[in-house]
Amino acid sequence: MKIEVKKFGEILTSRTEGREAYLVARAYLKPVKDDEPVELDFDGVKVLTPSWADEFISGLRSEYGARLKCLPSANPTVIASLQIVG
Amino acid sequence: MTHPQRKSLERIAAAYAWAVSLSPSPSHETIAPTRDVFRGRLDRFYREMVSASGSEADSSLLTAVAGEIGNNCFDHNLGQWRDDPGCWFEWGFFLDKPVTWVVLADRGQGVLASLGRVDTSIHTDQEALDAAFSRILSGRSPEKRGNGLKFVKQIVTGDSKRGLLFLSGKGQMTLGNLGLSAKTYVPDLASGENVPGTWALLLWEKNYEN
Repeated sequence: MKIEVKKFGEILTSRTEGREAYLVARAYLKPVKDDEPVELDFDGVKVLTPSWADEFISGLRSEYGARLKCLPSANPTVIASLQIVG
Repeated sequence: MTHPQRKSLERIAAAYAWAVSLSPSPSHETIAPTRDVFRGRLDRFYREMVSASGSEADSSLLTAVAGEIGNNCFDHNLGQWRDDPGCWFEWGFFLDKPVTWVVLADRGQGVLASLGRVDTSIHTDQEALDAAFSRILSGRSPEKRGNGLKFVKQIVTGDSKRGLLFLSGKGQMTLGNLGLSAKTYVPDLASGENVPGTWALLLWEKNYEN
């Protein structure tokens, strides 16, 4: 399953919005199979901060563990934020 | 000094005066009173930066830094405002140089009051700022937070054409090659006025290489 992060917005900066995005993703975006990878596609995201990413990714990681993957991005804020969030 | 240059200095001084004043000031249109308003202005800020610089990558980084600092105003001060709620968010350009300036400030509780609660070894404004920019530590314990200002530091120091002056209480943090330049734009900084909340001036020179 691929999650297009840009569908939550192009400018993603606050923790409150990241938390809300996680809750929506958890409710409505579910992989079909239990072992299906969950890929985060940041294509189209203009601005990402560690605060938004931390709430969103940490939440999804608690659901999907190692099945969660972040696809490569050329956006410098996505790269820097993912490095910090881990 | 050109008129736009003088205007920029006046606006930076006005933001500083608002942050250090003892009593609430008349309402300013530069203040985003809620996070939603701040969010809307941040979107406009990004579009203006792209239009001015022609660089999506550079504008993206600048917006992320402004977003982290501005969102902190709300994250750490809801229910803790001294009087005027919100974040002063204003920007402009020094036209004699291709430098964007951004001011973000609040009349909240300040960094020491926030971090001193979760780490009792922090006693001064300077210690609080040093910790905020170097350690994974947040006043919103037990939530796992505290990486936003480390991100700010990483981005600002990641290019020689950037700088940040961050004030809280009597503490000062300067980052990046333009950080010391930022000090020269603040009236009466040497007199050590107390900034009860936070006040930040970001300088960002246009990067033609991106």
